[in-house]
This record gives sequence, structure tokens and C-alpha cells, in this order.
Amino acid sequence: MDEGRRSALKKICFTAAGVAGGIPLLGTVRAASRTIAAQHAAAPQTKQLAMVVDMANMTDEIAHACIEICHREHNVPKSDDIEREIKWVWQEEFDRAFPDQFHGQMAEAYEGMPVLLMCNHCDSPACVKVCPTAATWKRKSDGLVMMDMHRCIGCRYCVVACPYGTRSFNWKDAEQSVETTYPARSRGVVEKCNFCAERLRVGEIPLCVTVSQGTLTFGDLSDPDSEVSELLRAKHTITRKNALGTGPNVYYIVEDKLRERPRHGE
Amino acid sequence: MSDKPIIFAGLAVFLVLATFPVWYTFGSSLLFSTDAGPPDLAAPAGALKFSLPASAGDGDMLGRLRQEFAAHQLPALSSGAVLTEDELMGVWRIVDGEMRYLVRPDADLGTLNVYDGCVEDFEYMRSNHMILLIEWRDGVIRDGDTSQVEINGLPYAKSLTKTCLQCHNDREAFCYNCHQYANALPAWPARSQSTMNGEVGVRCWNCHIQPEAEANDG
Repeated sequence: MDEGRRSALKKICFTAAGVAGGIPLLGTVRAASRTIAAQHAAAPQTKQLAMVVDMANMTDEIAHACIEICHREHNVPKSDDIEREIKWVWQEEFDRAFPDQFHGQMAEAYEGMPVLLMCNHCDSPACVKVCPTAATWKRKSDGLVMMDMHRCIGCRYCVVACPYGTRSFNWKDAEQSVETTYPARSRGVVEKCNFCAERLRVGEIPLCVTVSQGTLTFGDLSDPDSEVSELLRAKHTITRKNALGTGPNVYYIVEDKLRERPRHGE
Repeated sequence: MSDKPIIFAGLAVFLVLATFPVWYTFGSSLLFSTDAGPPDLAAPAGALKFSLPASAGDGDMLGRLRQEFAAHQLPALSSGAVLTEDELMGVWRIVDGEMRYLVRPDADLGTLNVYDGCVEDFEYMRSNHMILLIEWRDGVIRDGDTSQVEINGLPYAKSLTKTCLQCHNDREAFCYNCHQYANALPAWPARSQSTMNGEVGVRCWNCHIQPEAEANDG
């Protein structure tokens, strides 16, 4: 009799444990499939600002101009300490920017090719999901991933969550530069590229686009006639770490790069 | 059973100690209070503020204005250049039994103009400016609100730096003295190397820019 009860209890416990452990997993799988499906939907219903980076025509000179003007205008402090540096826009080698789209047999042109990186203003941003104070959020009016420094408590959860490394923590108070009126940030808040929300507000385009000599295209994805939509239809583009399902909105044109440089081994 | 006196003595000591914060605070506020009432806020940039007893009200307003102008070393006014009484009525308010005027003198032309005014009236701004600022911030940053506010028929951005601080450009005069009086200070200390002497914990200026900062940094 005892044996029977014992085994019955065991079964109940295991079943309960199995169900309890399985439900969240089911949810995750469903959520992930939904996200990826949503990502493949043709055009977003609401306004979603996006950037297309033409890497074929992007030179180091242009990239540095973009970084320079962005960091100067947004009061981004310079630091030699790589662990504490703050960056909104920066360069990374192709194989590190697109680790899941690089393999050893790729054309030589890709190896060490610098890529201009910035916040992807994702469709379902991981940083927003983890923020405990809603100091960062996905803005409905234009799809930007915004930040409110007043609410940021500096927990750096978003820095960990963002798979693209776009977020930087302020280890010390930034000095206000006299060259710009954009407010500096104080110690203890996280910052990143904001697609120049302060300029969009007054009808201007992001600063990096203004100095990109045509290699950066900026616009609204939900508008089928916008420049980015047309470019995305015409060219083969890739996004960073696509399989994670965050739905990045910075797109990269790479194919033309190959036409200019010799293939590996030629 | 013979411990009654000790118990009551103990209870008395306990009561005195337990209620100490209450009567200490009450007593010291009665005895040592230096409360002089809320500070009088400065006039916004470009405006001239002066007051005269309410009883003297309508009488010799022009003469009073001339005196004020002389006191502020502004050019003397021709009688035609002064605001009409109706216009002046729009810019006065009674505070503590005094009529206070807020006018915008144009030193070059020797004229007085009605002060442009704020986004809301004086009473509203005095008690609710923090709500307005939070609404602006959340609207602009969080919801992407690009609408503008209108002051005297002119559009202004919903921005602390671009709109408010253009007139209220002296943080000592507009922020600190009142915030200090109201004890409405953020809990965290001021940035140590900043120019605000570390005495007031208003942290706004760690990031936001004060117009004409050189002139106001003490």
C-alpha cells in the first residue's frame, strides 16, 4: 500500500515539475516564432525609422566623419579606456559585426572590412524588455528606441541585454562641451545612439547622414515610397544577428563590395 | 506589589523620551523660527518688476513708473510712451497687499511693453511648474509630441533649455532660493566640482545647460 502511494506521489511530483518547467518554455518558443514571423512581415503598420548603410561606397574617411560629428554634437566624452569608453556610432570588423554571417571561405574583401555600427532601433528591443524603470522604451510615434536619463537608475541590465553592444555606461560625469547645446550626461546613466531624435523633432535628418556622402540612407519603413523602402527592395541587405529575433532596423548593403575587390585566391 | 512608584516613574521617563521628537520640533519651531516667508522671485530676463502699496493703486501710476525707470537708470519716458492703464492692468497682481507690476521696458525706445507672459499664468506656474515640465518631457521624449506652445501669439518649443531658461536664466534667482525654502531638493548631493558651491542639491545643471552660464556661475 505504502509502495503504491509513494510511487503515486512521485508521479504527481514529476508531472507537476514537468508542467511547471514546460509552460514557460512553450511560451518562449511561441514568442520567438511570433517575433521572427513579425519580422518577415512586409512593412510595419506604424512609422518605423530605419537606416540603410551602403558598405560598398563607405570609406574609412566617411565613417570617421560620421563618428566625429555624432560624438561632438551629442557631447559623447572621449576615453582611451576601452572598458569605459562611450560610443554612439563606431566601427567594427565585418566578422565581429556579423559573426553569424561570416565564414572562412568568404571573399577576402569581407575579412577585416570595417562596418559602421550604431543602435539598431529594433522592432522588439531586448534592452526595453529588461529595463526595470521604463527609462528606455520603443517610441510608438516613429519606432525609435528612446531613453529618459531622468529615469535611468544605472543598473546596466540593458547593456547586458543588447546583443549589439550599442549601449554605454557613464562611469563619470561628462563635461559639457561648448560646441553643442545637447545636454551632457551625468554619472550613472546608460546612453546610445538615438537616431538624432532631437533633430528629427525639428524636421532635420540625423547628423551622420548629413556627412555620409550618400552612403547612409534614412527614412520610414512603413512608407513604401520612402528612399529606404525603395533601396531595401532593390538591394540585397543584411542585418546584424538576425536570428536573435530582435528585428534590427539598420540594414547593410554588402553585395556590391565584392564587385570591386578580387575574390579570395584570384 | 510595592513597585508602583518605580513603575510609574519608569512610565513617565518612557513617555518623555518617546514623545521627545514631537515637542522638541514644535518647541524649536516656536522659539527659534527664522521663517521669513517664501522668497520673492526675480523678474524674468528683460522684465522690470516693481511694487507699490495697493492703496496707492490707480493714482499716480505714471509718476511711479518714471521713478522706477530712474531707479533702474533707464531713459526717461515721454508720457505717450507709457502703457495705457488698461494695458498695465493686465500685468499687475496683488501680493501681500502690494500691487506688483511686471513690465518689459525697451531702453532704446524709451517705451514700456506688456510683459510677454509665460506659458501659463503666474499662479499656475508657481504651484504646478513641475507638473508642466514633466508633461512636456514625457510628451516630447516619450510620445514624440512635436507640438509647440504659444506665448503672446508666438510659437515656442516644449523645452526647458530653449524656452523656459531663455527668460528664467538665473538659477540662483529662479530655482534655488524657492526650492531651498520649500525644501524641494533631490536627495542626492550636488556634483562636487560644479560651480554651485555644493550647497544646493539641485542636480539639473549636471546635464542641462544654463544660458549665459559664464555670467551666472558664481
